[in-house]
Amino acid sequence: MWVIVDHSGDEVEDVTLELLGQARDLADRLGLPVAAVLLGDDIGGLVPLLGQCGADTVYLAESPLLGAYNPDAYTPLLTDLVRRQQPSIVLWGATDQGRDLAPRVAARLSTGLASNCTRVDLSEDGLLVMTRPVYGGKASCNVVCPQARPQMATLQPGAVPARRPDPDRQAQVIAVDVNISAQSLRLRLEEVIKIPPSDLDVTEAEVIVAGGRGVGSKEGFHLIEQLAHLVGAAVAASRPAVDAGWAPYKRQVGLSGKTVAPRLYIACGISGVNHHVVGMRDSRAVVAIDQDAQAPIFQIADLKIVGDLHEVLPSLIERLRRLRQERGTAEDEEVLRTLANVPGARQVS
Amino acid sequence: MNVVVCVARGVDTSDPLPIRPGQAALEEEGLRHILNPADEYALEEGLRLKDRFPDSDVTAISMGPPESEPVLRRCLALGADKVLLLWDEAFRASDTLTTARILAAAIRQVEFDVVLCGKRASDGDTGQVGAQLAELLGLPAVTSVLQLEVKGGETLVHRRLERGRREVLRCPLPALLAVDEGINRPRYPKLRVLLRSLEAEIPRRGLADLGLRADQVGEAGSCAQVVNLSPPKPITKGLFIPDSSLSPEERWEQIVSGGMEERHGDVIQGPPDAVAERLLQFLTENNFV
Repeated sequence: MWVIVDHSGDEVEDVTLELLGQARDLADRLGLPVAAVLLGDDIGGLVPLLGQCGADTVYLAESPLLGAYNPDAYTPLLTDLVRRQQPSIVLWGATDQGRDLAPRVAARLSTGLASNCTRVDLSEDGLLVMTRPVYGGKASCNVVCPQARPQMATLQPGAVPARRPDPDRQAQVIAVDVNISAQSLRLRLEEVIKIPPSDLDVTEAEVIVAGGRGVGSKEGFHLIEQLAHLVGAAVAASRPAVDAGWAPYKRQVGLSGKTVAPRLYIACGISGVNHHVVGMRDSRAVVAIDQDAQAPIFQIADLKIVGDLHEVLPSLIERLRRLRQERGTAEDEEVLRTLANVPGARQVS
Repeated sequence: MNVVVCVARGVDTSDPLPIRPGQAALEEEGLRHILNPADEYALEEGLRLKDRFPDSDVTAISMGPPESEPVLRRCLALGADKVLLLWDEAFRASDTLTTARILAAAIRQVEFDVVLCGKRASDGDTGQVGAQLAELLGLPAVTSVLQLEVKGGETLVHRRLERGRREVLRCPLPALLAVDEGINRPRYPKLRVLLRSLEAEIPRRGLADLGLRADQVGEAGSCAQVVNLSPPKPITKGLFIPDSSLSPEERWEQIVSGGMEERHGDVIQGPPDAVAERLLQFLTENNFV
């Protein structure tokens, strides 16, 4: 039973830890060991956590050529490793890397793959049953791969809970030779661009500042935009704010807009009717600012601020500006420099 | 420049789905079929290449039953120069890899510089065929392409990553590019071209034409098997029981609100500056700024 590790270079992605927990559970029922496959450049430091989260062995392939994900390097390496070790099941995260890489490896191995699974389980005869959404999420189907090996699935992040790391567990490390030449890489990475949060689609944003009817006016909405700029967030709006023309439709969150699940959602002047809440209730943390202490948004808020946003936000914006001025890193300076482009920024100071 | 666009007949998922619980396929009756929306972006990108390099030739290829002909007519109406339907009874119930195998066999027979695919099919939703086709053809490939530019035998593409990041990649031609939804805004057909497309002959290739064996394709060649299809199960977060200590009115309100679990967060009230200070503290403690 294998898990292909997703990592950012210095941190293992949550989805991998979830997969390890799931793999441990399935492997124990089948009497198999769990191996994590870790590819990258100078990433040995990630091994202990993989062991603590359920891996018995870690196949470690390190090379400068593996630093950034390149399918031309990762595909032959993994295909070769699977051919030699012959795992019966391989699990991947349905991430940027997994979604690109898993089908390629499956094609080279001529085996089946179920992608974007929400669940994996075992059938009575020990086959991996992979449950995945089809028809745009309107149905789900169970997929099995009876003959070909390995059985492969990519799992959606958050589909299964991660296990608590066990500090006493350790994994045995097996180094993998990397015999890939730089000439064989056809794709060349020029650069990685980070889209400024303000231009980011709300469904992609990690932090969102949203404004609703309580914001009161287009000028009031500039406060939302400034706050979003200072915390590196995308701007969102509830339907009344969009209907009033304070924000474009593409920024609408809720039943008739988009569904989001950021790490932090700051709701300003949004009372929290159901139509809005269904679009954001999966947010990891919610901060709500509203004058009405009875507003339903407070029922799902982790930090409930009862007060006038027109008084709280300018004060918060000023504090954030000062914080960034004092800290003065390159990023802070960039944020402050570009703040001038945000509408209404000058009037407030 | 020769451009091959892989297209598929997709199910219009905006309609209610005739699911027969326990069965592996949908009830055919009542299903509406359309050009798979994700492939429309791929075709549009191909047509834009033709706009830029007027001596280009855009070929739309589809693997699917004869009922897929309207989809290829649609491609002709939108501006494709040629179309090709790949079908044989042996192709039925192909999984993603066998579909890729059939497409690869057909694409090997034509000249091409770029192969374009959509992100995913509206029905199967696997998003696998593009990358698998590239492997079978031995082509360099980029998936989730949000922007592409062809210049001097190579292409510069933007690949969409999570969290608002984009990879800028240089890729030599010939190559396969799987485009993301939203890369462009697909055009409307011209009436004259549309009318002509209705009468066009749709050429077809079968098993023997493609040099394939029956055990390589269709159900026989497929590894992944769909066991059954069911309506999606809602993700339940425990059974909701209204709080019996509440008044009937509040209990009712809780029920109609979907019984969302209340988050027991801190309530902050007071002068605006003190509140702002506490909020700032929350943001810094949790590393949001």
